[in-house]
Amino acid sequence: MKRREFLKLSAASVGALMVASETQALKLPNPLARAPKAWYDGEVSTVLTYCENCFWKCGVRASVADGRVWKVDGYAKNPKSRGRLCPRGQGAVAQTYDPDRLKRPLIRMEGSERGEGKYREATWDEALSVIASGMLAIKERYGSESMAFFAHGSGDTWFGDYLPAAWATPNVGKPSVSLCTGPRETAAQWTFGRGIGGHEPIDWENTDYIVLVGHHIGEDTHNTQLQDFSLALKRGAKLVVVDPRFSVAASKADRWLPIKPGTDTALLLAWLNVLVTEGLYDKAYVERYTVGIEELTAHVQPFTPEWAAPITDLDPDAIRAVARELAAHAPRAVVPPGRHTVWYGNDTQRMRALYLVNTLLGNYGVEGGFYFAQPPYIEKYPHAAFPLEPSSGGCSGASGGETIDTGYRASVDHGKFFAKTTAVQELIPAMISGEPYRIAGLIAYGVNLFHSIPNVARTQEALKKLDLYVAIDVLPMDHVMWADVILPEATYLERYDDLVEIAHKTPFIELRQPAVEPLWDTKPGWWIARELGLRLGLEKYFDWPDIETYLDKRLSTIGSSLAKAKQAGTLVQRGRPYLSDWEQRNLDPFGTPSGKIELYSQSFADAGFDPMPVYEAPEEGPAGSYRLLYGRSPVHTFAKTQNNWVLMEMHGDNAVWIHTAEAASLGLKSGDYVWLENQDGVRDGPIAVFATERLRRDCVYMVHGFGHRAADMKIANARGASDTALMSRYRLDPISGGAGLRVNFVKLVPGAPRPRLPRLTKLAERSV
Amino acid sequence: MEVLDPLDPMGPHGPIYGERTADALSAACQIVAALYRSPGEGLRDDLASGRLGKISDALAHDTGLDAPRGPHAPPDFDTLRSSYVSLFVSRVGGVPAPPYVGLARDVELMGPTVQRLRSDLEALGLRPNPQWRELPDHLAAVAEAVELLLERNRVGAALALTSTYLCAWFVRFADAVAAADDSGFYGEMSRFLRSVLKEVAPRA
Amino acid sequence: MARYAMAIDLSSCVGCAACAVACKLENEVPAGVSRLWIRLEESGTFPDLAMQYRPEQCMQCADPPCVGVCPTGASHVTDDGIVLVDAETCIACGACIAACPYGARYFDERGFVGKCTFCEHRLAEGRVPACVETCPTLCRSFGDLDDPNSDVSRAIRAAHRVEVLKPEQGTHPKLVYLDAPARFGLASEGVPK
Repeated sequence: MKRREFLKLSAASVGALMVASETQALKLPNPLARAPKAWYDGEVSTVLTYCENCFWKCGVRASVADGRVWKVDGYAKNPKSRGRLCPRGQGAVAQTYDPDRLKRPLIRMEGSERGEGKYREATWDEALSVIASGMLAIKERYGSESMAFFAHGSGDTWFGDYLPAAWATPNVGKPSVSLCTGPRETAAQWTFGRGIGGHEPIDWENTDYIVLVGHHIGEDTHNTQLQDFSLALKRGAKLVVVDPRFSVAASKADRWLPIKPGTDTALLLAWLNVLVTEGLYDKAYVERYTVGIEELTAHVQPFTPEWAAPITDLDPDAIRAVARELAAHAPRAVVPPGRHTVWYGNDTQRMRALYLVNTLLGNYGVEGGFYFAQPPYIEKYPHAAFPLEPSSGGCSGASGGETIDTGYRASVDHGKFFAKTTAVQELIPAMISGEPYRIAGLIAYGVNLFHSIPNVARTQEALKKLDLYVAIDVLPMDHVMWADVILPEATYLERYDDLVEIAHKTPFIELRQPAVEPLWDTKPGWWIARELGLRLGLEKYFDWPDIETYLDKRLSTIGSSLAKAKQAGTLVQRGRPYLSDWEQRNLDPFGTPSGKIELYSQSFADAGFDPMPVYEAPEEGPAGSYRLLYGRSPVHTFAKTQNNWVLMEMHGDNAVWIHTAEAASLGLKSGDYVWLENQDGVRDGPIAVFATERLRRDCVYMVHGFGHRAADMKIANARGASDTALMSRYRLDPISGGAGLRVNFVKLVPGAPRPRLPRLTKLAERSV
Repeated sequence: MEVLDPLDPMGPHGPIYGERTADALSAACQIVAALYRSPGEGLRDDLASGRLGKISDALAHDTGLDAPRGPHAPPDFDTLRSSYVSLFVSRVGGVPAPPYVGLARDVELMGPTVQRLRSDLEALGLRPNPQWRELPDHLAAVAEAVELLLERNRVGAALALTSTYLCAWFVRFADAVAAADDSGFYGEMSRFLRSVLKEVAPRA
Repeated sequence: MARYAMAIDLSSCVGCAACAVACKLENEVPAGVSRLWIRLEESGTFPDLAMQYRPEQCMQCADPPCVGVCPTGASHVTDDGIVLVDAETCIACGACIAACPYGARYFDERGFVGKCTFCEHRLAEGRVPACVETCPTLCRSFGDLDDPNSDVSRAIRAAHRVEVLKPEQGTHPKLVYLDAPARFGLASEGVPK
């Protein structure tokens, strides 16, 4: 009997290891071996998939050795990456191997408060059962519509579309709509009868003159767009940038117009004025493809450059010159729509004005302007018909006739705005007030509730009132550690997802397939949705046994297969990019009521909105405060990447940008720490000051996504400040439902303590 | 008394390692393997039955250290479970003490140290259990490996594994746990085990 | 034998750091040190402003001051003109780190000196360095200077301005900068990004 066995701990034999054979003698090499073997010297296999580190979804080739992904790269045949990746794409691997990742399902300790962060680990079976019984109890008591789903990311097909539709709730919100693209989609739907879509259909390769309005290409690093933009400039295309800030794009521009924030519509109206009054617009195009030119001509008469100049704080000759230059280069002149367009609450009309400028240049559907992005052809999986279709609208927003399914109540935000979609921030009040009916449960998939939705205090109040709050995520973000049940999803390198369908010049389908097995006990979104569905009595909608069957079936509808798609990664089809492609087939691309581009929107007039855009002056802030503007870092995606050590080494903090003269008047210089306090007395920070010449004096600017709050401040993770926290106020766009976010004003309060944080090089080691 | 192991190159050439010290290392690794994994029925039982207390006390006695009080008056099991998650699994702001032996050296998970550990374990005749849903360099797994080797009298191999992967790192790990859980059960146990390992671990 | 070189078009570079991140992962560069970093220079007052982003790394000099000072010969130049460090023979004395005027070398805590290798392991397979391959503004070109049709040769010919950093050091860098924005010479002052 061995001497040690008289007393043995039951818990000690974890069963981590098995004894195989007693093999050869141990040769432990010097653990700190120099010249360690590089990953690429081993046996490397590659897997084609697509990235998840932003919403662009570039095709990547993952390099795998020893059961680990070491590197991802683009691949040439993928029309998004074309063999290249942005910094977030390159750095995404670090997220898969982040020790802070959610590892196993967690259930909130009984008796603890939401937000206290007290959890125990649980099996998947237990966690899913808790969720299912909670949801069924809500359905019994309040109806299935009382469950809300908020979703973002590739898995939003499961948690924003499939499962909510099978469950039968219309209360599905996607921040990518009402907190981002909503106004541009709605305006495009009602001007062109087509949305813009996730891959902006700008014909960069053929354009000669580009005007960016508040569009930070270069800091916004949507891969293909940045490639195309750079190639256009290399080719000699001219660039004008309209922005209160000297952005990276402005540094490449031939002309920078440092416009007063909130006045862009006046500038666009002035351009319409010049194009119309000087007869510079494309008359043949307008005659053939539009309605409303007479109304528009009359409408824009007062909006001269001289009228716009004092409003925008720009030189009238510069305004006039840009309009003339646009016309001179037309139709190879374009004003791209940008992406995040929820600025001031009147954004649909601003986007209408932008589209009208493009239309008068005759560039819509023409080389050098906007091409028609066609979706690829592939059929959905032939599941049983859902009880209702979700009205979240996806990135493109909804258009056409609205169907409120009989037998189910409309979404709780129905009637608050004109567009046929939901607005995520408008689904929250019903959680608090119970009007028009109560929302008692929420599943948040991949959505950062405290760093995307304005009025964070209201969100937190709502979460406290729910009967059931479930978070499905990859990392323990602030809002995740409030949930009743936390489900850990596997990262993109570890899972399949539904096919991605990209509307494009050359429409294509991308496959996501796992490169490695999921770490810990994490699971793919499809599996979670299915397992939950089975426990909710929805098995008839999940008659496919696994994702491979599901995908293979879908791919078979276009004569392909999962096996072929795994080899190819991307399946490319033919598109219909220009007007000529449509006319050849006697097809009308414009899905408007008139069948043409609507310069004058009768539908808007009928609904009580301006049928043509007018300028509305923005509210001014209190004296001594600055309008809060925000934007992107090229190495970060929203609030998603601030735990990625590789990306944080590149950019580990945000700062509040303020003009040097303003800083001086406040006694501040770069590197001082301040609190930011908004018009409602809400504070965030500390944040470092960046005194710069690159900004107007009436505003401040910060990069979005920082200011994550630690539950326990001893482990200070709070780097920088959160702009979302300072957005206690937003202005609802009554047309799109978008939440105008640039309507908050902040004071800089000096004397904030310099945060004492671990050095970033130690970040990856945490405190170990 | 010398411990000889025909399969073990460190036997005749390595440091002389007493049986009592081997016992202490074994006990320490048992505790580590038991403690730094998700608290389950096994741990609940070990606490209720007093087994953990007995082993800790014996270990303290053998190494001349003060015995930890925690095993004799543990917090309620729910508190233990939520502490475990908050210290080692998931927390807003970052897990204070990720229990992965390779992390500090490699700066990321599943790095070269983990690959080396896997091949070393394989050479020693140990393979990961596919039911074990954790990373291969999880502290409990490494401690279990040392314990399994000691059980088979492969003391040299156990020591080599300990000094290569465990010792220096465990000091920093234990400090991190103690900093985050100063007055708690895991904090106290970590401080205790840190001192134990300093006593029983072979000199580098 | 090739004469490998790299050119970076500064009129295109937006300082996104895709190159730096790609290098980090491709070459398992430890936390806290870099083979490649981005420098930002700004000039002017509102609204008359200019900016330049400039990636910097080992210049793969034709006359490298880091080679002669190496006591063990670990720091050497290959037949293809790539300056490398043999980690086995490197004793981490740091002489080369001090000798480099560009700050391109660093201590790897595993006991040797690290630096940009022009991703030599990729060149063997006919691929370009990771930074060149990934750049989303396509501002980097690479290739054999002795081949007039290589990407780098063509890029240099097409450029209006071709400059190197610290020409007064006489190192003859084989990493050249093209078309730096007019307001900037290649001063080596500037805020590292």
